[in-house]
Amino acid sequence: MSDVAISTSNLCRRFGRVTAVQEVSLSVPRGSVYGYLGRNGAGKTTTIQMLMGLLLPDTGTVSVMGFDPVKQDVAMKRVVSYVPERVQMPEWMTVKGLMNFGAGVHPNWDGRLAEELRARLELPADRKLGQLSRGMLGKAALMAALASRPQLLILDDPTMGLDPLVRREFMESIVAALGEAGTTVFFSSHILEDVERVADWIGILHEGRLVVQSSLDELQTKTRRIIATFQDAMPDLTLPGMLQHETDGRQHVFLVSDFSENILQPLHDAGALSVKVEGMSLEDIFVAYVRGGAA
Amino acid sequence: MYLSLDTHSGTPFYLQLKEQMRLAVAAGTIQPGERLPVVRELAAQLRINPNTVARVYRELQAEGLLTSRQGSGTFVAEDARGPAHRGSADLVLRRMREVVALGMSVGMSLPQLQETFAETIAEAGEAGVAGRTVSSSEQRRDDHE
Repeated sequence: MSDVAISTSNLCRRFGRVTAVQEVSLSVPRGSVYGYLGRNGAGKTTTIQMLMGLLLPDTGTVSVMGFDPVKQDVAMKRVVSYVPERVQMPEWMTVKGLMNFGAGVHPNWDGRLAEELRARLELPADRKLGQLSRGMLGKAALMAALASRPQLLILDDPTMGLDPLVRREFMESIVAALGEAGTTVFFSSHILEDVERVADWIGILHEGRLVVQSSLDELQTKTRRIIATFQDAMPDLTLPGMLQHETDGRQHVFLVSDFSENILQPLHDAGALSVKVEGMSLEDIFVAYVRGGAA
Repeated sequence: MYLSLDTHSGTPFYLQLKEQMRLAVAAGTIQPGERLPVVRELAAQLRINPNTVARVYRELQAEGLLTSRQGSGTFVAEDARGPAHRGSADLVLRRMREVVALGMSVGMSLPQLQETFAETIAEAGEAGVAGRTVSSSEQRRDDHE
């Protein structure tokens, strides 16, 4: 068994003249919780659909749990659960019916876990799926996805449009599932606080390109805000790995992607009165990359 | 033991948790011999990745703060107070440096700073609150370990 759950190389996909995904090479370690971030239209859903074999890449290769998602879709789906951005399930089926159906089609279906999740997520057993709210439907999909005991769980913006309480229940259920058997989770999200809480790997997609792929620890260690203040206006200051630079002349604020103490030396040499280094939240880091553009 | 995570500080959660646990042991909020929640329980409570909690436990064990007993869980070590106090003293030192830097940046002289420190310490002694009150500003996590 390979130690990567998902691997793609130079994945490209165009829609007409629009390039949605460009040379994306993902490497998702087994057992990791990988947060896949990007603005609306960055190409997240397109990538995920290619991972699930729902969309063919123009060029590049995909391997999901060692399988080709197009040619070996049946084998892949036995070990991979997927919750799409817009959940579509038969409207006439009840929650209980969905559980019976799952038990019938999934070899690894865990009926006790399904019932536990149904109760925790407060899903009414006799209610028809067509009568569930958007949040409830999302919870039903999550219940089904987790109860089949996947080795890999792929979630496309699972908490979008959910109220804060439902979102919290949702994330709690995912965290509880992580305690088991080293499940790999690959999820896209807009809620960076959720991602920061549970992810240990981060990929940032910007205009179709993967501009960051790193463990969260390393990303937070290396991405820093540096505030340098000078006696007089200092033009033309640059630092290596600069993502952003703002200045009013005397005070310079740099966001850098590859921090070490060494890169501060030019600031001291230029006679800085003070140099302050700050850590950045995942949200700040995300904004720095997608606003600054390139890595 | 109440643990809180600040998602705006830029300090990784495992460092935030380690620091809070060190302070909790040093302050006596959790006592030697006390049992800690199991990894999954604490992870679910904080809604964070169980690997993060496992890492905190592992690293605090290496520091001598925690100890694990086969099959019965993770406990505060009997002699945890020493390492906890040392770790907490480091934090106090870092905060003092920040305060001194702040004072100097706004033009306070060293004698002025010394006087302010002396007065503050005297006040705390009179009120009998030394080491008892933890203000919210001490919850900031702005160190860059």
